[in-house]
Amino acid sequence: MNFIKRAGLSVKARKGKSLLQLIVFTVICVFVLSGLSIQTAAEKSADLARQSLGGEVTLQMDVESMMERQSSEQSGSENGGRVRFASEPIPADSASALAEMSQVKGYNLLSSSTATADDFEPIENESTESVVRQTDEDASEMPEGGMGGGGGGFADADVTLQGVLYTDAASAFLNEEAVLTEGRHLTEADAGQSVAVIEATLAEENDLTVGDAITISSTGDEVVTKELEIVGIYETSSTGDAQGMNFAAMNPYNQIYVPYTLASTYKGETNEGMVDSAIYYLNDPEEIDSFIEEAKATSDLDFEVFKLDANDAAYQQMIGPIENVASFSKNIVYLVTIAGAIILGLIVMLSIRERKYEMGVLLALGERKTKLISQFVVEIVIVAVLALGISAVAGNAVANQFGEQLLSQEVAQSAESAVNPQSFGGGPGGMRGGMPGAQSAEQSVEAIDELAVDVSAQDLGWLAGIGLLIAVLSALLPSLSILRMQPKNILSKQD
Amino acid sequence: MDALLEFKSVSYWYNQNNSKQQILNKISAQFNKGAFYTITGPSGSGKTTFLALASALDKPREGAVLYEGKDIQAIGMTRFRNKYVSIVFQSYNLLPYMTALQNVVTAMEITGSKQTDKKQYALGMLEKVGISPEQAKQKVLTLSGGQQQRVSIARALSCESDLIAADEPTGNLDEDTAKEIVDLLRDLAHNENKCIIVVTHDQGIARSSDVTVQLSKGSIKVIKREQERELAAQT
Repeated sequence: MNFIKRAGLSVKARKGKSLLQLIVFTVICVFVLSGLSIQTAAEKSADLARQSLGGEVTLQMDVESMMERQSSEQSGSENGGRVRFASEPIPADSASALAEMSQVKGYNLLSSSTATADDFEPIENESTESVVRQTDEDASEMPEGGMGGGGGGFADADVTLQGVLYTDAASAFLNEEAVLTEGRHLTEADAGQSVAVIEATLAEENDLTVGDAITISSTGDEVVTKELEIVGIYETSSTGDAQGMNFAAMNPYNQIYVPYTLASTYKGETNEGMVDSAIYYLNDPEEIDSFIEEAKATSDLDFEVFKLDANDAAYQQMIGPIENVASFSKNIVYLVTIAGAIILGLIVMLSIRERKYEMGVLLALGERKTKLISQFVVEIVIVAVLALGISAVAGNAVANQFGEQLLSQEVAQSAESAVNPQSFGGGPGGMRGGMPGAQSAEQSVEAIDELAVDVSAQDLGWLAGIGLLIAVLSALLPSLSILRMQPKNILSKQD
Repeated sequence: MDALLEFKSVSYWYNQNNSKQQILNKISAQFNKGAFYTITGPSGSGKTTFLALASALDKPREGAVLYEGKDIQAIGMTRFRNKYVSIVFQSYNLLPYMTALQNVVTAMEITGSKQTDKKQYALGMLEKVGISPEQAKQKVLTLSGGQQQRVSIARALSCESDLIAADEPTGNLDEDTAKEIVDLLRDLAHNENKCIIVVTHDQGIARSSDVTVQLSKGSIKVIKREQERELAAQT
C-alpha cells in the first residue's frame, strides 16, 4: 500500500500540477454530468409526453397508390383520358380485427356521409343559398362519391352524418372541440341502430331534445330515409372555415354523429359493413412501428390498397426539440469523454516524462514497475474523486443552465420551421380541418420548452463510472512507457 | 570464508558504431561483510559499470555476479535491489517532494522492512548519520549537499541489507564533509558488519579503505590496504 501513500504525498506536493488536473477533470466531469442529467431529464419528459399524448394510427385508403394504379390502368386502356378517382371502403370486420392487437388501447371506426334534413331545419350559412343555387346548376358535373362519398350531389346535402363507433373517441370530442351536454355518447352497442347525437344549436333552433326523433334522407339516386332517435346533444366550439361556410353540410352545427353502420347505409348498398377509415389509439407511441408491422403481417386487408398512417406528428412536434437536446447531450458525453481522456492522458504523459528521475530512484530501490503505474493511477484517481465531488455539487446548476439554453434554442428553431408552412396556407384549420369525413385526431400541441434537470443518483453513478474510466485510461496508457524503463539508464542520464 | 558478493569472470562491453568497446574483461573479485572496499581507476575504466553490476542495475554480458553463491539474475534483479543491496548515489537521488524522514520511511516500505515502528527506526538511522529530528522533518531540498548525502546513507542503512554500493558519494561534497561521510561508511563496515563498496576518484578515500580494486583497460588489480599499512608501519 506504500504506493498509495506516495501518490497522496505526490499530489499534495505538486500543488500546481494537481490543481491543473483538478480543473481539467472538473470541467470534464461537469460536462459529462450535464450531458447525462439532460439526457435523463429529456427521457423523462419524453415519457411524460408519450403518456399524455398516446399514439395513434389511422387505417385508410392509400390514395396515392390508388391514383398511381388507376392512372397506369387508364393510360394502358384505349380511351385514355382523365384519371377518375374511385374510393375504396374498408371492411369493418377487418378494421375491428386490428383492434384486438395488444398495442391497441382503443379504436374508432369512421364513415361519413352527407344527407338532407326532412323534418327539421339545418343551420343555414349566409352564403349557402347563393352557393346552392350556383352549385345546383353544376351538380351534374361533380364526381360521384366525392366529398364524403354520398350517393348524390354534395351541394344538395345540408347535414353531414359523422358515422362513428364511439362518439367519445371521435377527434372533436377528444380535442374537446365538442362536449356532450345532454344524453349519452354513441357506443359499440348502437351499431345498427337509428340513433343520433346532434349539436346543441341545431337542437335549439328546432326545439329538439334527447328522446325526440329526426328524419334524414340520403341525396343519392336510391333515396334512403330514416328516422333517428336523438340520444345525445353536444356543443361545438368549432367555427368551421371559409370554405365550409359555402356549404350547409359543412357547417359545424350540422354535423350529426350516428353509428358508422347508419352512415354507411346512407352511402348506398355497396357500402354496408364498410367504413371510410379506422383510428387505433395505442398504449404508447413507441409501439406504432411494431403495431403497423404486426398488422401488415396478420391482417387480411390488402395493403396495396389501404395504408396504416402513424399520426405521431403531435408527439414528434412535442418532443422534437427535447430529442435534439438529448441527442446533442449524448454527443457531448461521448466527445468530452474521449477528448477528456486524451487531454488528461497528455498531461499525465508530460508528468511521467518530468518524473523519470523519481521513477529511476524508486526502481533502484527495488520498487516494482506495476506499483509505479499504480501510483500514477492512484494520483489521477485522487484528483478524479475530488473533481467528482465538485461536479456533484456544481453539476446541477450547470446542467440546468446548459439544458435550458440548449432547449430554448431548439424550441426557437422548431417554432421557426413550424411557422413557415402556415405562411403558405397550410397548417391546422386549412382545407383538411373542415372537410367532412376527415376526422383525424390532429392536435395542436406545444413543444416541451422546459426541462426539469435534476442530477440523480443514477447520473452520479454513471459519472463516477465514466470519470474513473477516464482517470484509469489517461494514467494507464501513458504509464505503459514505464515498463520499458531501466533504472540505470534513467539515473546515468540524470547524473 | 564465503564471499558475500562475487564477480565471476565478468565481462561487459558496449556496442558503439558497430564496434565492441570492452569495459570489463573476465574480471573476478570477491567482497566480504565487515570490509570497506573502494573501486578506483581513470575515467572510462568501468567503475560505474562495475558498481551497476554489483547493485543489479545492469547485467553482465558474460560471467556472473553471485550473492552468497547465487547468481543475482536467478534471484531476480528487482528482488535483489529490493532485498539485498542498498545504493548511495553521487547526486543523492532523494525524492524531492518528501522530507528526509519520508524518504527513509518510503525506502523501508518499498523494501518490506519488518520494523514495527518504521518512523522511529528511520529517525534513529538519520540521527546515526548526523541528521537531527528537526532536519528529518524538512523537505530534502532545504538540506545541504552533505546532509542530503547523509539522508541517502540513512536510507541505505534503514533497508537493512548487508551490501551497500556507493557511487562517488563524496563527489559533490567539500573536503571536511567528504571525510565525515567516508568515516561514516567505514564505521558501518567495521561496526555494523556491512559490506561497503565505494566507487571513487579520490586516492585519499581509496587509501583509507580496506581493499581497493583498481580498474584499468578492462582488468583489475586488487590492493589490500591493510598489508600496505603494515608494510608502511614496518618501514
